[in-house]
Amino acid sequence: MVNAMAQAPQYAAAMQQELWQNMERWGSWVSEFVVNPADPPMGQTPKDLVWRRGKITLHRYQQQTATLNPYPYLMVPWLGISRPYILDMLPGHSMVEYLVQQGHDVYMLDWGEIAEEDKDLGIEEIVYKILPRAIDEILDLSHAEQINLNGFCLGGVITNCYLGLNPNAPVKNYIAIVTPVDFDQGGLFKVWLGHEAFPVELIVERFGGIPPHLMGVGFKMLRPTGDAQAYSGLWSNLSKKDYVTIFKAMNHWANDFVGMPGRFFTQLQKECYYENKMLKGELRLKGQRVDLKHIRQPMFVAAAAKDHIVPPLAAEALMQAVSSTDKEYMELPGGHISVFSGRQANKVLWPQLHDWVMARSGA
Amino acid sequence: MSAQSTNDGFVNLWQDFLQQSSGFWSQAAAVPKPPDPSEAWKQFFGMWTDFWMKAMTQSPDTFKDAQKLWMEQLDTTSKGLENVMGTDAYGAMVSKFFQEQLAWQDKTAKAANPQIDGALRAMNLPSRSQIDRLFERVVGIEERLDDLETDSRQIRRTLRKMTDTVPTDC
Repeated sequence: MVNAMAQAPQYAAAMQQELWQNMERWGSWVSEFVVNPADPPMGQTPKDLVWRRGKITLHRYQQQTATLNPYPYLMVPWLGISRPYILDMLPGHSMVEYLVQQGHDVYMLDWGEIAEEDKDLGIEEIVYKILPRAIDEILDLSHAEQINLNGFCLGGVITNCYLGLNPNAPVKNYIAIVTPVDFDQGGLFKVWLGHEAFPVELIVERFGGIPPHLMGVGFKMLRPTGDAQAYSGLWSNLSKKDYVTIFKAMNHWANDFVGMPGRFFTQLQKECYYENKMLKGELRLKGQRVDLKHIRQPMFVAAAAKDHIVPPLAAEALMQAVSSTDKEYMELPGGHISVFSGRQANKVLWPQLHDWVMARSGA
Repeated sequence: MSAQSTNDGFVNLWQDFLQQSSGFWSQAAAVPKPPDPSEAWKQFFGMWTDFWMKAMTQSPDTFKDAQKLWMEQLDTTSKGLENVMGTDAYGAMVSKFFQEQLAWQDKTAKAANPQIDGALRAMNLPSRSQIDRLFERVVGIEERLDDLETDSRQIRRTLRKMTDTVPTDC
């Protein structure tokens, strides 16, 4: 107690500071969540719709620099689960905006809001029809011979299959970000979806795919304390305007789930999580074997150290599976999404990716 | 006072408090006649105040330590849950849960759907399955349109190539 008495002024100061901070936090809470509860608008980088097939759309982002990289940059996001607008989250916090401002001719595929009528959409249709046509459109529009192809998460599974089937694909450089390749290293999803008794047929028969609410349950179950951690972080940083804006955007996106087509989910569960066929070279689409050795392009693989959806080991496996000689692997700090859309992404991943692509974009 | 010892002191205090409070509530729940709620809450509030009084005299950084400890607790809980949920037994349980839920939903749907469809028909409204079929047809039409577009693009390209190769002085 004597020690406590000696430090009394410090206690008083600490308490005063804490009280002051709490007042600030409550003020900010009222202002941001009661008076102005609207989430900030996302996906604001100017773009044009250049191609569509049903719900699937291809957007081209408007040029913001005097010159453009001669190789268009195609982003292929994950199919189902959530919407890709996180790649163009907010002005100043957008991967798309960053790449556009660095002179890339950026295109992005959007799979749309998957529903029951899309239950027959599988990997074959995507890699034999949709992706080649989208690429064809891009080559026409940009008057280019080749593109830079960037797959994200399950979008990377699609691009892996596409390149694994097309040794002569018009792809100059290949970028795979948090893309699962070794599904045996797939963390909790491997344990749940890779279980032999997982009733994938029953789910698909009942719902036609994975409906958004089930998708939400699955992802929340992966990290049951995730919301508590996010809100605790928010409480500590409530007085920072920028933090709150990003929190609102991320929180909106993180709860905006979309479904997954039944056929795609069945393939993902059976061929990938249960049997790990893509890495083993046993995955066949329309009778043709997906051979990752067909990937010969310069390749950039990024994984996130704290990724609980695609652990680094699951993503790193691509490095050994391909024939590329010019390849680079980076394990970056952050989680599955924050690695490419988090607060540090503009200092870590984006500049490195841009430099890597530019170094390989010589005519 | 080092940061570690401050943190340890706070943790010990927190553990004592948890033991005291859980003891208090289990004791309250165990007695045949429930205690007066306002008296019980008063006692609990007293324990809570006592805890913070002691915690505050540990170090001026008590609030920061408490926040840090909370985040660490969440992290530890998350890792603990991950270990539990990462077992084969848990995977089997998830599968079984889905099987049972879906079987139950299937039975309910089979029982309810004819009634719902009948009611919708009576009101001259389409059923869910009819709407699904309609959307499937729309998706099919859009796909065929896209196929046609692709074919016409190929034809245009071929024609352009042919025109390019035809000698101009012919």
